[in-house]
Amino acid sequence: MDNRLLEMVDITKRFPGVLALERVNFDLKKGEVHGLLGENGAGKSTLIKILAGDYSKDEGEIIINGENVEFYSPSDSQSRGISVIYQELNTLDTLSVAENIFVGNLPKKKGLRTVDAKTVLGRMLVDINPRRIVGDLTVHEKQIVEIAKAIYKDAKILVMDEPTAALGEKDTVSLFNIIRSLKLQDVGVIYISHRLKEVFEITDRVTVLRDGRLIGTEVTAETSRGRLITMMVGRELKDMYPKRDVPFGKTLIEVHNLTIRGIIEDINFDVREGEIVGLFGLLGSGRQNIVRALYGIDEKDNGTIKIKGSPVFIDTPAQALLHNIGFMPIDRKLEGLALTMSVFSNITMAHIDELGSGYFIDKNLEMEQSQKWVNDVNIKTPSLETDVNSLSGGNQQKIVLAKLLETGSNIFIMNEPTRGIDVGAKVDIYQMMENLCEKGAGIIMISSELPEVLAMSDRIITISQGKITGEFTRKEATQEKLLQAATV
Amino acid sequence: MAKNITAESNGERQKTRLSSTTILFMFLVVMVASFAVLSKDFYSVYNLSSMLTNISFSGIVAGTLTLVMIMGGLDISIGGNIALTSCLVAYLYNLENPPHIALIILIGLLLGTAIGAFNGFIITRLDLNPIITTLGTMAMTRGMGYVLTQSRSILILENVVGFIGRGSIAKIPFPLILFGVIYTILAVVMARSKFGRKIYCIGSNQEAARLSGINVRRVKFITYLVSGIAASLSGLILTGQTAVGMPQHANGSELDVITAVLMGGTSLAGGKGSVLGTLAGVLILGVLYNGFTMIGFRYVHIRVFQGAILILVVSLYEVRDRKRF
Repeated sequence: MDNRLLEMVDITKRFPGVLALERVNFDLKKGEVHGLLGENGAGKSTLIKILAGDYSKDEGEIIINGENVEFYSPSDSQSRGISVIYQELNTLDTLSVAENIFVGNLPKKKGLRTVDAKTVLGRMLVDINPRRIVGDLTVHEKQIVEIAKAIYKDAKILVMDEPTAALGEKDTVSLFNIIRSLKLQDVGVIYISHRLKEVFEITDRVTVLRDGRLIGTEVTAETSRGRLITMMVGRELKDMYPKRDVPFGKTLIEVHNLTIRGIIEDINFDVREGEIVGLFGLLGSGRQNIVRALYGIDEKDNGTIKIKGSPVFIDTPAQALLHNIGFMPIDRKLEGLALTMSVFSNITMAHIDELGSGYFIDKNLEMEQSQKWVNDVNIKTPSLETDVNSLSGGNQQKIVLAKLLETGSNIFIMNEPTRGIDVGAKVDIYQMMENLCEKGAGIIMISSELPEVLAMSDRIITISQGKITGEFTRKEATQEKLLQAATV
Repeated sequence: MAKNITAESNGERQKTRLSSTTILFMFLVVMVASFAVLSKDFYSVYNLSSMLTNISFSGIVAGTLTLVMIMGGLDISIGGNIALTSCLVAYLYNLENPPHIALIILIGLLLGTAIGAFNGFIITRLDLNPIITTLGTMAMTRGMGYVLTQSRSILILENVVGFIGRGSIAKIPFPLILFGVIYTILAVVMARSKFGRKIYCIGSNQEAARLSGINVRRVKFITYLVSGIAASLSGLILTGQTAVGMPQHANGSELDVITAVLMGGTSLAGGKGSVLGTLAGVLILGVLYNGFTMIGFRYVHIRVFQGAILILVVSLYEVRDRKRF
């Protein structure tokens, strides 16, 4: 007997003007972890949304346990044992762990909840007190609650969309242990991630999509990183990190004694023209607080900022922009983009007052500028009027970058510049960073991805518990040294 | 590409929005045509002009409320503001030694400015929710109207105030001129100006707007201020039209005004909407009341229609938005 849980055959989905999926085949076996890879816009989300009953397919068949099924709504999909755990978790933060797990089918007797919840959590080999309020949990614990919810509903097919995006290393290990325990219980897991390392660690097979087409399905143990990348981008990516040799110029910005009581203490560093300075630290190390204070978002208790040698006063983002400091926020959806607005109004958002003299916007100038950045940063959008909401993550991130460039700044604070985006978009962004350096700009980069920090930074400053704990040149820095300094 | 952008858009209206507003205006034309067939009196210059005059006072506040709502805010103190302005103006006029009428009108407008400034201050500096803030101001202003007039209506037979409410220039009613001028200004501000763009940005994502160097507090404060000024101007028009100042004026009007704005396609969540859409919403409500009255329906029936049409129109927007996916 076939041990296939799920088969998706010749799935086709059209959106107005776009063929999102073209005859894509995908299958999942019992107890298998099947990775789904592809750049943003490749069709992964569309495929998953069809499986989840969010979208209806135009053509093709979905077969579950040998039975042909049609999904008209998410509840149809759920009743067939499919559960999707999205990147943005859907927990009810004011309720307890037990209540979250049983939401929708609460056991009648109150006492049973905690006991049953313990059983469900026990199946995943984790120990969280079911009485705790979910709002107090960590991201990983919330994720566990969501998985438990799915298990309780007897999910046989679990879809995880970028589950490790917001997790640290320890939590990732814990998540993988949970996934392995689910495998033993014959649950099939569809695992979506941009992190190839994880794909190799946890998946049994990998399917790669590109431009809405199936490129291929590989057995993980028999494939290689390079092969998957080639499949994803459709070309050989010789140099993932296009680092160039840019000579450094004068000192652009100096930070002296920057202090926020109880959070960061006595931070000193500088950035030169043409230089990328990486700030590396673990979550909660204070690296965010440093750049937020620098850009005038958060108040600082002490500290002097000098630009080209002269002290400046920065108390608001507007003042920072006036001194040619641009800021890329850590979360493009929460802090970077006006999602309901067009591509062009997002690009010019931090530069509105400069779009023509007087009270009115010079429309021609605005369109010219936006078009220029769309070309330069290689943003793929149907038009300048398109809502950024409808673009892929990589293109959205590029718009955030374009917005920064439009301000005409020469000091850039880039927070996780390539977070959650595909390889191709990453390289485009690195290229732009290098272009900026060649033009004499200085960049302060914060990134949680060590390879990125190592490859792109000219100098790396490690932060731990609000203090600078080390400084390394590009040549000196190694993964071990950075981690050691960041965990002092 | 740039050619596609109409005066109203500021680029924020997608093609779907554009056609939504067009559909609203088509709906309006159909309504006008049907009423014209059903009632001989409806399609007369006299009736249409008096209808337009009647909607001017609520139309003006609907225009400025559009700005507030696109910004993601709300101002429900407009009704109380209108009433208190009318009471104060009539009260001052009936003093034993009344100030000059120009001064009285100025004080009326300053009152609205002060109410708007108060709302703006509380919302931007204390970071209070705009619904709560203006709910408070609504009760305060309405109550102060009763206190000031000792719950009576005060007659104000005065030429200048009368002109604001009932006068006309070249046969065009003065309130209608004000209505037209204000809508033109608001539409241009939202479509073309830097200030209008900032309102859209704040409504769409306030934090992103702040990090983009937009002075969020200032833009918000000014917008609430303008809403307050518009309300007191409406108060003057209503006082002129009715020749009385009374605390019951414009009772519940804030909800009708919000109805017009929502029907016009402005989202309660902010970031989307247009002044032109609100104009369509205001006109549809005006024609609805006038037309159904002309063919013999009573006010209470028309309230039911108003509610039904609001839900119908807004659900059409929802369907349209979802269809894009």
